[in-house]
Amino acid sequence: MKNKNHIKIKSGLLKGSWYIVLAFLLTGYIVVPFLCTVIKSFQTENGYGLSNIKDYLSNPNQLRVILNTVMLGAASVLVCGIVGIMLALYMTFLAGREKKIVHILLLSPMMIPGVIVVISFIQLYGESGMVTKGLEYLFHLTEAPFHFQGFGAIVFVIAYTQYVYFYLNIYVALKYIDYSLIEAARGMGTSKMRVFADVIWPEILPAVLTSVIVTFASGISSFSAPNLIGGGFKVLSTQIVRSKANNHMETASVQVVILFLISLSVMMLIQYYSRKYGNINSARASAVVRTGKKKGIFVSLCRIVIVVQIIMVVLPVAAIVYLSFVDTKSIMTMIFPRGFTLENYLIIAEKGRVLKPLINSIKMSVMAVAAGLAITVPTAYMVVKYKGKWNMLFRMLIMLPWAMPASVIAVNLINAFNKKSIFAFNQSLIGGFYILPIAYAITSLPLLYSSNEVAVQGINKNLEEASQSLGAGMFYTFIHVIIPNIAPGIMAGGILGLIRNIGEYTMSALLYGVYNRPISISMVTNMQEFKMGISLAYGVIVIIICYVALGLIFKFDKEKYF
Amino acid sequence: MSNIVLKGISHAYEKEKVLNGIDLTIEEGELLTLLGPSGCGKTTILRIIAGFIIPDEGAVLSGEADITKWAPENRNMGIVFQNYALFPNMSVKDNIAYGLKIRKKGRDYIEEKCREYMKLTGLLEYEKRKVNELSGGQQQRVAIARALAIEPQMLLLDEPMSNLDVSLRTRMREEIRAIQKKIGITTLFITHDQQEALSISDRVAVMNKGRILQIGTPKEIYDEPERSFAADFVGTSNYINGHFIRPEQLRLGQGGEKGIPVVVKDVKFMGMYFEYTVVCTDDSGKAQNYCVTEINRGKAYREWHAGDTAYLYVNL
Repeated sequence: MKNKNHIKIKSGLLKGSWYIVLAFLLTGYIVVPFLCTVIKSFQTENGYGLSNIKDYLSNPNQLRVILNTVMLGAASVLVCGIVGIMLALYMTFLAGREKKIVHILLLSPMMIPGVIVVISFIQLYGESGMVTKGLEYLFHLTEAPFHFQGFGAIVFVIAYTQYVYFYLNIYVALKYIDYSLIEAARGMGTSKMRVFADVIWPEILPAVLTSVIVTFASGISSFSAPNLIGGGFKVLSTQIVRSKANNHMETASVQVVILFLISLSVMMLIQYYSRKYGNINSARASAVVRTGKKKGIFVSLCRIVIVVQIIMVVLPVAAIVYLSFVDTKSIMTMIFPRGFTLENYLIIAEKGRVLKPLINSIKMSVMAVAAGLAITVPTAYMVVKYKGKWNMLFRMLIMLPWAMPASVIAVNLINAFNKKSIFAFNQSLIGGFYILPIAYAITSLPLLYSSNEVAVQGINKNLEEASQSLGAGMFYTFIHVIIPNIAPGIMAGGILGLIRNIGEYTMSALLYGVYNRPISISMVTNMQEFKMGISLAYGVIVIIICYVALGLIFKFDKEKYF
Repeated sequence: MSNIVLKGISHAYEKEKVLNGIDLTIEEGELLTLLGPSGCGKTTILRIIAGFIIPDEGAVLSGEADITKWAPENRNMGIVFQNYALFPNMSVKDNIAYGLKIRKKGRDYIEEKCREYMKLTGLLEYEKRKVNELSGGQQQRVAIARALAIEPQMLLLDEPMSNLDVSLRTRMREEIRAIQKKIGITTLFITHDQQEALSISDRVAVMNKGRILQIGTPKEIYDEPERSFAADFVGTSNYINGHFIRPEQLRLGQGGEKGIPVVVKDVKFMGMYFEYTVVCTDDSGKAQNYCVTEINRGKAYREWHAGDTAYLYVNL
């Protein structure tokens, strides 16, 4: 009996200390930093008050920035929604043998960091881009046929990068549609449009709503596109970086609070809506069988969309690979540069200073994901197993960064850690190496948590009971039974997190310093210093890393993606 | 080993009472079956004995010790789950060795025990296979071997046959019974299949709505059902003069003194036997249906047809 009590106390201690560590981390790195920003936004020269916010909101230019931000979010949802849904419908009901490869191609923008895509788009459609110059040459134009700048250009970039959320979510939702329902409706003489409205739409609505949230959030927080090709089109995320650069942390804080409120309110509105209308559970009874003719306006339209989409997805990658093997001088001077060289890669390999950002990024991403998993795996397990108000509170805190655009997280961290903090063991983190991995870890939490939660829910509950009945305690069971069985889900989420962090640009721009300069920053500065070749070679290396990772994800998580 | 005693166990999920004053003793070395329809509370009893549920009222005794609140990992119960719950990340042998490793047994001991139980369950050649590469019957054997390897004080089987096809089911239940007798382990078997219950058990407890209605040897349960639920759930029965009488205890004849005059209403040919529904009108003028079965003895047998008049006899 003595031994049994000992085990109980041990597992109680373990649980207790886990909760203390978790509470410390979530409070110190998510809650307190955000509160610091809120306080900062009220801070004026003489005490605290609403004057910062009043000043800000009474400035018509600033109101314009807010409006622009919301417009960008809405436009992202609209464009990505149309494209993503059409692609998903086509791939589910019409695609033939080419399905698998097309599917992988369509998913690949998820794996390429936004900043690389923007740089590549500039090389293609910018003032001296290959497509722009090519059109000029072809039609003997005296000036560029379009200006790849401003709102239109940003939406263009978003349409070809952010549609993936819609596409993937709806593709997965369509997999679970009971195909016999569609056949039954068709059998009763229902038109295709009505089948879509009455059978398909209600089934995919929850997925649509989730995608709306994610796409809107990424639209209002997008930074690389507005920053590099925005021209005069200003949005909150770019203005936040500018305020910080000018050392106006009060203004930055006001902007951050506004951006957070926009993000949060849209998220809550849609979640309310999805709770009201999106409660559909159905078990798939029969698989989709593609039969019948593939004709009609809609089908042709989808075909066109898919072909254009694939070209748009492949072209930037092809362009960036091509240009990375060309010397910078010929990039600058020729329409289709032909001065082939390996120099760009050799410089990266040979010069430690040039290689460093790549190493930094890999190192920081791995650290961030490792920390994120250490936090989210046990929490997901506790939440699924015990529910309970404390676990649900921790869950909510872990999911909170979902509503925080990258610039919000970065400014929060600056406000909290630009002075000594007890949460950093009485150190100031700003300017040091660890601030970026910490920021990466915070943004990764919701993604890692949700993939872990899905994995834990998928475990056969009896496994744990079997282990217990064979004599294993909670900790032993967690290590030997739970972890190995959710490993594929953990790995897939972890790799996705890794990819997102490796090319992260927004937080990096706000938080990097001499010790942790990441690859995204180096890409942009090299480009701005007209060392195009190096910038592009960096891009290719990151893309290769990401594609290898993509392959691994597909291996670990086949079920989810195919 | 010692017997397991349940004393006055009651339990509710939310507010729905699933067990109501259960008293049950499982004797050392016997195989006792809980038989009842789904939702009758039989699995809850198993989970209470296993330690996954602490009952609202009552106690679980193992010999002298009150184990009601012991954690599952301290009870030493071998459980075979309905879906087997084999660890998919481990081989057949690792599944079987799992409980022994937790008990920190020496490597040679683990090796020896694994072989012993793989041999007992006919798994020796599958030692290194992953469990998801096995058939349903083989998976079940692994589950049994894993549960037995820890040499538990009791074996708990939760509807272990429900995922197997009919022919395999019959074979597996014979195997389980043979193994159980060979090592003489106290066993609680849960099923809703009366054939299974009757063929495998030392004793059967018939359950409904959270109560045990009757407990006895299979023959007692079948021949002398105490209540109409037990009588109907275990086979079919006729209620005649205050007794439950089985269809095969009735016989149809051409005429005589003690027979009840009936009319054949429906005939079902079941292969091994014929099942007749006959109707008689009693003194008050109310029609009463009876079910009669007669063995099909081939050409010698004269079958009855719908509309025939006959006399009903009780073969006691």
